[in-house]
Amino acid sequence: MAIKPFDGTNDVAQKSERWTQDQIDAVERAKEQQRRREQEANQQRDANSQNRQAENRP
Amino acid sequence: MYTSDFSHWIETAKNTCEILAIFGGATWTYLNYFRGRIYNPRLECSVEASIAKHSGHSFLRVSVRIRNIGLSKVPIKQRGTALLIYSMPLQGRTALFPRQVQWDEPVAAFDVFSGRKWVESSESIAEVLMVALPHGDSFTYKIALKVVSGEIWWTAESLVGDTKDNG
Repeated sequence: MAIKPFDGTNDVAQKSERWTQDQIDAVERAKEQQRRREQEANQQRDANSQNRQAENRP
Repeated sequence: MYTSDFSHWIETAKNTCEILAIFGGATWTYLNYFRGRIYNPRLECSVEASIAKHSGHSFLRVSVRIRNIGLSKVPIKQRGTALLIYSMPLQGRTALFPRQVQWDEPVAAFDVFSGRKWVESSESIAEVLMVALPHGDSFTYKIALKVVSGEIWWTAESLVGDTKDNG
């Protein structure tokens, strides 16, 4: 499978605008959701690790 | 009498030149400072992304950079500043006509430039993120860098993907 990423330097689009509270809130919600998912994934990984250790214990 | 008149004219010419110089300086300052906007906060944002594969896993390597191209210090607010990743929705069927892809909600969002409160004039700061991609996920993403400063929201966007035929 050939992976050919786009040339980022040519594809970058820039803009500046006045933000609205809704836009900021949406970004903060996305960041919070990301943090929550990572926390849950870490807890799941720790639980799996503890289960494996318990199974391997004589 | 003649010498007195000459001195008078010299004095008048000197005063006129001083007044013109003051007005000229004021005009230049006005154009330079207000119209030229060189002291307005200005950032140049960029984002580059590529997909890397290691041991059968796919990773998104993202490099974000902001550069202060103005002459004043630009403060950065963490609230609203982020790197957003959008995934292209997989369409079950081929489009009947050329149309723009609609990007939904971001599938991931990360804090960037967390330790920074401001960017000095001519200063450039960068960060590199490595994002593990879910197995079997589509390989076309829109990467958006959002930076908040005062009332302004700077955005830089880029696309990354592969050319494989998903069938």
